[in-house]
Amino acid sequence: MAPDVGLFNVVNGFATQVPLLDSLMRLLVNDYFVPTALCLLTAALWFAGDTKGQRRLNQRTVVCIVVAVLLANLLVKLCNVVYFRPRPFSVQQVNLLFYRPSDSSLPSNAAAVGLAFAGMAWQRHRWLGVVMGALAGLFALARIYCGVHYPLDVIAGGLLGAVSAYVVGKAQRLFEPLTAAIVGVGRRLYLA
Amino acid sequence: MEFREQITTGVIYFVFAYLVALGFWQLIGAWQRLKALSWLRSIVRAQWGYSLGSALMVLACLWFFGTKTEDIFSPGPASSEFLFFLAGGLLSALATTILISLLVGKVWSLAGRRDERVHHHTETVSFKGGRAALHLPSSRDGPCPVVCMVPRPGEGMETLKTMAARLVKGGFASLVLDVRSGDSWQYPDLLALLPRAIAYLEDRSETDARRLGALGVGLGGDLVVRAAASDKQIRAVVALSPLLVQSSVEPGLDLLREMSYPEAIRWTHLHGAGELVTSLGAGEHIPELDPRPLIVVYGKEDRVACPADLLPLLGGPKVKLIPERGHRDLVCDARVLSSTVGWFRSHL
Repeated sequence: MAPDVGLFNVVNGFATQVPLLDSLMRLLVNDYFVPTALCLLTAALWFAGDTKGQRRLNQRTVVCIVVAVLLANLLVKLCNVVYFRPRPFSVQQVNLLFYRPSDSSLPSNAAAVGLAFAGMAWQRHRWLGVVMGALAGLFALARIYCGVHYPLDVIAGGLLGAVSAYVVGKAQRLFEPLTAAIVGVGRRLYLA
Repeated sequence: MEFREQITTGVIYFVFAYLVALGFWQLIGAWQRLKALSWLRSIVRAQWGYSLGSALMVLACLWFFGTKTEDIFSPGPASSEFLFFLAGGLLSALATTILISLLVGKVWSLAGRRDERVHHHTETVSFKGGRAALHLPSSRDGPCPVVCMVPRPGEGMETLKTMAARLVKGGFASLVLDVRSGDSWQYPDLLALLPRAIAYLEDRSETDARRLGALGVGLGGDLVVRAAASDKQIRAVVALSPLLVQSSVEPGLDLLREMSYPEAIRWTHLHGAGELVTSLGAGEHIPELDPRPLIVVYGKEDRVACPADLLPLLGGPKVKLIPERGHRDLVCDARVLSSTVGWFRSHL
C-alpha cells in the first residue's frame, strides 16, 4: 500500500497551503453539501420530462438510484464487517481539515454513494451522470485532501458504487412493480 | 451527550434543507411551469422563477455553510438520519410552497378581478331539471340563432360570460347551463340536460331553435358531442378541450400546471375518476354528427387533455390548436372567441 500512502501524502500535502483551496475543500468534504446536491438533482429528475412517458422513465431511474445507493451502503457495511482499515489520521501525521470519523477507512462510503448516484443517472441521462460524477469525484478528492481517506479507500468505494449502479441498472425490470407502486402513490398526491 | 449534539446538528440541517428546498421548489415550478408551486404569476417569465429559486438556495447555503461551521465539522446525522432530515425539509418546504402559491394566487385574482359590464339583456332562467343564464342581443329583428353552452363541472355560468357576450355581439342568443353542482353530472341523468334546455329554447319567442348550436368546455365538450350525436336539432358544435379518454381525468402532476393544489383535488373529485368520460364516450359518437359541422379546439400547451395523445383518436372533425394556451385558459383566448363566433356564423 506504499503508493497509496505516497499519493495520499502528496494530495494531503496541499492542505493548509492555500486558504481559498482549503475553504473550497472544506465545503466539498462535509457530510451535507455534495449529498444534498446529489439528492436534489435526483429529486429534480423525478419531475423532468415533457410527456408522461418520458417522466415515467425518469421516475423509474429515480427509484433505481435509490435502490443503487441502498445497495452501495449495504456493500460498504458488509466490507466493514470483514475488514477494518484505520483512518490516515490514526496512523500518521496528516493535515486534518475534518472531524475524526471512527469507522473503517476502506471502502469510502462517500465515494460509494456518490458513484452509485452518478452511475445510475448516467445510464439514463449522460449529462446528469457527468454532473453527478463530477460532484462525486470532487467529494472523493476532498476526502483525501482533508485527511480522512486514502486514495485506495475512495477507489474501492467508487468501485462498489459503480458495481451497485451496474447491477441495479441491469436488473431494473425487477423493480418495475416497486416503481409502479411509488409512481401510483405519487400520482394520487399529484406529484408524479 | 454525543447523541444530543447529533440531534442538534440534525435539526440545524433540517432548517437548511427546508430553506434550500423552498428555492428548489421554485426552480421546479419555473422549469415545469407548475402553477401550484410557483410564487410568481404564470405570465411572468420563467427566468424570474429561476432567479428566485436560485437566490433562495444561495441564501440558505450562505447561512448554513457560512455560519454553522462548528456543527458541520462535528459528527452529525449518518446516512439514514440524513435522508430523514432532508426528506422532512423537502416535504415541509413543499407544503409551505403550495400554501404560499395559493395565497399569492388569491391575492392576484382579487387584484385582477374586474366586473365586466354586460351591455346586453341577461336573465337567469329555470326549466325542468336545470337552471341557466340566457343572454339575448339588445336589438334584434325576430328570433335569433342560439348557442347552448356547457361549462366544465364545478365551474359557474360566469366562466362563459365573455364567450356569451361575444356571441351576443355577433347576433346570437346564448344559453349557459348551470352545471356547478356535482349533482348535475350524474350519469345517465345528465344526458337529459341539453334536450331539456333545447325544449325550453323552443318555447322562447326571442330564439330560433331551428338554428341551434352547442358549445362545451372540457367535460362539457364531451357532453355536447354526445348530445349532438342523438339530437339532430343541434346544427353545429364547438368542443373546447374535450377530455375524450379516461386518462385525461387521472390525478397527476400535469394538473398542477394549470391549477392550485386544492383546485386539482376538487377537479379530480368532480370528474368522478374518469367514469363520466368513459360513460359519455364522446370520441365514439363523433362520426354520428356527420354531416353536421364539429370543430374541436385544444390549447397547444394543454397537458390535461393532451392534444398529442388525443388527436389520433379524433379522426374526422376539424381540429384547431391554439398556441401558448393550456386547458383552463382556452375559453378566454381572443383567438378562440373570434373563431367560435365565426364558426357559428358560417354554420347556423
